[in-house]
Amino acid sequence: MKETININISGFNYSIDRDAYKILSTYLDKLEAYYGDNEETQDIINDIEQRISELFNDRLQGGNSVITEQLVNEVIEIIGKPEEIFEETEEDESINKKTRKKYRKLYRDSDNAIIAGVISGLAAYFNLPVLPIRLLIVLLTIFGVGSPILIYIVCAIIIPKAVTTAEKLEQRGENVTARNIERKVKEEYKNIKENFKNHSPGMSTNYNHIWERLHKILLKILKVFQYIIGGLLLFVSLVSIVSIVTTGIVTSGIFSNAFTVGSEYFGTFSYILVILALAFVCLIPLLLLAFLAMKLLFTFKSKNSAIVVTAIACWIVGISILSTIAIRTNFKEDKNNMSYSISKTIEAKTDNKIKTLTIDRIPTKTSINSIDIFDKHIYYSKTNKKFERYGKARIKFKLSKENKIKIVVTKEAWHESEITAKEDVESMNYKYELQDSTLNLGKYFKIKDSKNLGNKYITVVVYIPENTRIKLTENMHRARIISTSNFEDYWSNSERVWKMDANGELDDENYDSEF
Amino acid sequence: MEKKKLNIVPQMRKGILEYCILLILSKRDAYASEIISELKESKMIVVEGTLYPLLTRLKNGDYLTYRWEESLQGPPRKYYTLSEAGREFLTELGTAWDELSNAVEKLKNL
Repeated sequence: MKETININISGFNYSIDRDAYKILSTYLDKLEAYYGDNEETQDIINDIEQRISELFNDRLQGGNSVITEQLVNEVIEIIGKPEEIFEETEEDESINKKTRKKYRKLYRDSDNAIIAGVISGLAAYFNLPVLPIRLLIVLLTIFGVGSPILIYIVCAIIIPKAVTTAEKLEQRGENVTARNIERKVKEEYKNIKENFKNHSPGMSTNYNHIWERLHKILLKILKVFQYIIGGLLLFVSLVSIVSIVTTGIVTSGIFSNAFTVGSEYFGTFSYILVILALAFVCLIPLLLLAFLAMKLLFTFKSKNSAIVVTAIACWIVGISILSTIAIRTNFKEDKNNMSYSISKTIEAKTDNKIKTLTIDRIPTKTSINSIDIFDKHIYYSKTNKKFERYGKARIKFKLSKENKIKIVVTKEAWHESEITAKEDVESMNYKYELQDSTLNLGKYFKIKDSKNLGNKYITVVVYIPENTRIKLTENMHRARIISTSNFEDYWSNSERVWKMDANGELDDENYDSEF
Repeated sequence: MEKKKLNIVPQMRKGILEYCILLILSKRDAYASEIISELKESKMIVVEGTLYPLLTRLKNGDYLTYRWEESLQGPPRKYYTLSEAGREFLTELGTAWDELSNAVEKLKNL
């Protein structure tokens, strides 16, 4: 049993079986490709089709009503294969062929198309690889230059599609020779499903369908953009998730000492809760984004509403945990509203002789690390396998009105009860000493009760007469120095000299001393 | 070498094919199938497809014109007619052919 199709050749209707049809349509394609792209080709093809229909009519009179493969082959035999015709008219055709050889034409390459084959057509025309051009166009479109889309649409409408084999060869500049056509046609043999009519005259009705085509092109462009946006979103969300998770692991210090400090500050349970809540709050929107990207890239079914509702619920839970803990912590601090302070003053004995006061560091044996939680500097050290809390002393320089060097060290503690505050102050252990013209200061002071979160300060105020210099040694790197209003860490790690002026300002002398 | 010899016959045929077409059309107007059957009878062409490009070329050279004529069966047919230029060309080709043929005869009878 064989399937038959109805075709129309120069006004006659024929039933033809599918195999025979394939052979015939390939044959006509080859002929058309061989004669080349000129006005006469259609005339010649029409004449040949007329002749074919005559031959069919002659042979169908015997009662056969369906055109078979055998009949088609017979007719092709009579009219001649393109190669045979080519052979017999070779001399003149070869001239034609030579001019055609160099002749490349711009077509849309629908065989390798993503949207309408404009770029693949251009690539074939200029003999360039398609992928880089596509990437370039996509990048141009994304990075602000939107006009490629318009240009593309115009191109898609103006540039004709390569339909016949000859056109497909022409757009690559391949020789339109019998052998090339043969090869190309064989490649496409399976794809030829178009109706016979497509190869007949009057097929150039493309321009009637501009709107239809525009619609199609726009749909495809949208589709491409859907993939591009999906890809970008997926990339961005995955990168963000990975970086947030890694920075989260590093800064939350789950695997480091900071974790112990953090859990001491918040309580272990709260601290883990804080980390989890932070993770929830940061990651859920990104995970949703990644999910959206996946939906754009791959079509799959999912319970969107359930997923979104769950995600939003988790996010809200995370936010509320964070705010609860923040409020509780602040509340705790607010209760520490009683303060106690003690000041001690030491004066230099040989005040008039000191031209330069050197400030140096009393070396610490313990190595101290720091962590910032809610902008509270917490220092800890791991001596004796125990975490100890430290504070950093602050240093302030003032003009001495009594014309002598004076150092005032103030210890200050805040707590709920004044008694505890007083105990705290007394327990704050800070080393400092003035020897001749050198002031030795400790960097940190130890806080006895590491869970006591009340603020504790030690401020060293150094009074210096006018024109006296102070010299900070390289050991003073990262000392906390209070300037007029704010304090900041001192970053220089080399020796530096200043001179006190009449207004209480320190003049930088470091550039002068260099010369 | 053998093959090259054999190839000469179609070459010769090809050279005078246009002359033959003009000859057929000088007797009477004809459409493609009639020309084909004449040519086939005199064994001038092997495959029919050869004719069509030649007809087109002659037509482009203004040696031929054609008109559409209704036929009893099927679509209208293209009837080819010799133009004035075609008749002149035919006489030219005729002279050339006579010369060739004479030359060959002379050589044969040497």
